[in-house]
Amino acid sequence: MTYSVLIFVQDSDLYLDRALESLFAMPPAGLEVIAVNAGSLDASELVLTEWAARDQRVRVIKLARCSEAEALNSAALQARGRWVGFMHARTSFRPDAWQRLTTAVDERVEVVLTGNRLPTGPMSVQQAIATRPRGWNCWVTSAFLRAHGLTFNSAQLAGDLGFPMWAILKAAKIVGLSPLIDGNPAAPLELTADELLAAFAEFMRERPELAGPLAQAALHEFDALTPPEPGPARVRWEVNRLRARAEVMLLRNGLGPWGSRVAKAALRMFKERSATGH
Amino acid sequence: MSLRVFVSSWLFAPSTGSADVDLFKRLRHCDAQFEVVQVRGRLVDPRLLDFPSRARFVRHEVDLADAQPRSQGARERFIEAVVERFSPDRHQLVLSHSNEVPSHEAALRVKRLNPDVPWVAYFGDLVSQNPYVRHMREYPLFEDDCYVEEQTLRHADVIVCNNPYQAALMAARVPREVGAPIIVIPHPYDPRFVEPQVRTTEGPFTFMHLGALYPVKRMASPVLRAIDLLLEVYPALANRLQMLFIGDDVSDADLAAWRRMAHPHVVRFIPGVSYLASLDLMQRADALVLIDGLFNRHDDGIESSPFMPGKLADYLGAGRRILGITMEQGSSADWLRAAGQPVVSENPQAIAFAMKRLVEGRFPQPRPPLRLRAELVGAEMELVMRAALVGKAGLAALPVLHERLVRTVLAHEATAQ
Repeated sequence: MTYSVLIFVQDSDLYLDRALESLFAMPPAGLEVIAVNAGSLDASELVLTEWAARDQRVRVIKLARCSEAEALNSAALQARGRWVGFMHARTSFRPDAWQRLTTAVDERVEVVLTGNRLPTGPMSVQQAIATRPRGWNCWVTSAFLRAHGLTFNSAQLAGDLGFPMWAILKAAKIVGLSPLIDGNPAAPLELTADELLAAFAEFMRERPELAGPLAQAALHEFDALTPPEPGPARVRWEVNRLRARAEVMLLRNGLGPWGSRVAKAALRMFKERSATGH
Repeated sequence: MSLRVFVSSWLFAPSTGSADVDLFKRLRHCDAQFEVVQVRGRLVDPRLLDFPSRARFVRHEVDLADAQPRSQGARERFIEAVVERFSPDRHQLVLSHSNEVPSHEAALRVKRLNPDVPWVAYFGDLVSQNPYVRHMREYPLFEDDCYVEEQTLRHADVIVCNNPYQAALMAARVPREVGAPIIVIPHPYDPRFVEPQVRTTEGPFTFMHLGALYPVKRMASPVLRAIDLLLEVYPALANRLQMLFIGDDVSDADLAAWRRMAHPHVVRFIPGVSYLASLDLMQRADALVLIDGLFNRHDDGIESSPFMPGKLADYLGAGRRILGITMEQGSSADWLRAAGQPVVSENPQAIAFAMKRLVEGRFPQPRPPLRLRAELVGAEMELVMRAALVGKAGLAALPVLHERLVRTVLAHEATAQ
């Protein structure tokens, strides 16, 4: 078994035929598809049952309603392929995806990172981080997955930011590819600034030598956070984001303990500017 | 011996609306002579009366210049005509039809003048509990209708409804000890009205909706959104299916939704046709689309649909696959599930998925159900009228006799299969 594709399925009955047909259009040998039905309330189970009945390459895991992270973690434990990839049922594999993926992998590659701004071919982790992390997907070897105990650590970060970031921080050899998948049903980044800060602080603790690029990536990510509607809550949110930005800048510069002082100064400055309308 | 029945029915054949034809279909296989007082319709199809039937109809059309039931003057003229025509010497019983409610009001007056004459009142729809009413900007004389409904439920000898959800609501309308017994006799299809056709497999898969849509609650828009979603996910289907809406009075909202579609060429709106022509068109569809009023507890205070559309009986009689866009619970859902057909909400993804499965042939072609054949429904209506003639004892025995009649026929169908 060479490739395991894990598909998160939740209320996706209309999309499943497209997703599975795209995977099985000119597939490589040794492909298995593990579809995790995470408590779908529509006819997803029916469609998956039909697929599994006519194609032994399709296995179905049925779970109670749960997040994408929990579903994919459950499926990853059962993957038998050397390479493991992840997909949402509402997306589809591009026609040339298998050809590009099978060409890119070799014995030493541990992570294949796919994303819009990635150059194709071997890349350093600094190069990977320098592209915008949002919209990444990745393939990892199952040995790598188990050796590093990688899991999707939250629904928001599953397959979107956290998992690929952890993968490249731990990988010895990374290859970049343009996206293999069409469609991106990922929800907007609904983290708080503190959650985003905490995630990047963890990344930086893992690879302190990469603090600079990671901090720069984090600063980009703050722009992608979803703000609340205009009003008092929005002001508080903006202030909080500003504070988090300030802490990231200090982490980047190796000045962590000074974070709170600088943050307070920045906060004072922001309030003054808000009061004067600047 | 044939019954001699006096019928008060504002809407009746050969007028070609669904409600006009409804009662006519129920009666034409009865062993009876029906003297009918009705309003002259604007759109008629005389061919309806040409089909051989066991029943004989003598019709009196009241010519109302302002022939709409929301006018007090028109109502009074109709009621006068009914009362004038009734004769206890010629008529053994009175049958009235809720379309329109003045028909019941006229029968109520006849009953008051002739207390010994049995009165059978058929309700094609709810009146006071009709969930559409609260969505209508103007609905004159609604309070009058509610009063007539309540009086009919009290003073008729027996009530006929077309589905159990409607019957349950009507039964709760008046105290049980004063309410008339209620019998459920569904809408029929009449296989003699149309020649069955074999659908060829050429051309795109044709979805077809026939009949009226409303500006609220029963709209084309969910289907239009579903079609766009389906073709977004499976663009190869764009040349393989088409959706036809055949009926008058398309709402502005639906037309605007159609103009906004990414694939408007897949959908066509075609002017309405006569009832018989619609039966012929049904034979040319690959799948018929039923769009019921989609109500809910929060907005409308109901969790199940109290309607059985007459159209559904005709759809089932056509023997074509049916996509049912209806409430999860209700008569339409029950009939469609029994026929193995998809039942979905107005969720575009659910509709799109069902359409895809229908195009792929994943649902069986339903056999027209014997339970809804006009011959059986006619026998049921005749049983009700004869029981009313017998009197209290007949009406007391009616539920058991009715159930036995239906069970006998269905057992025969099961054996034949």
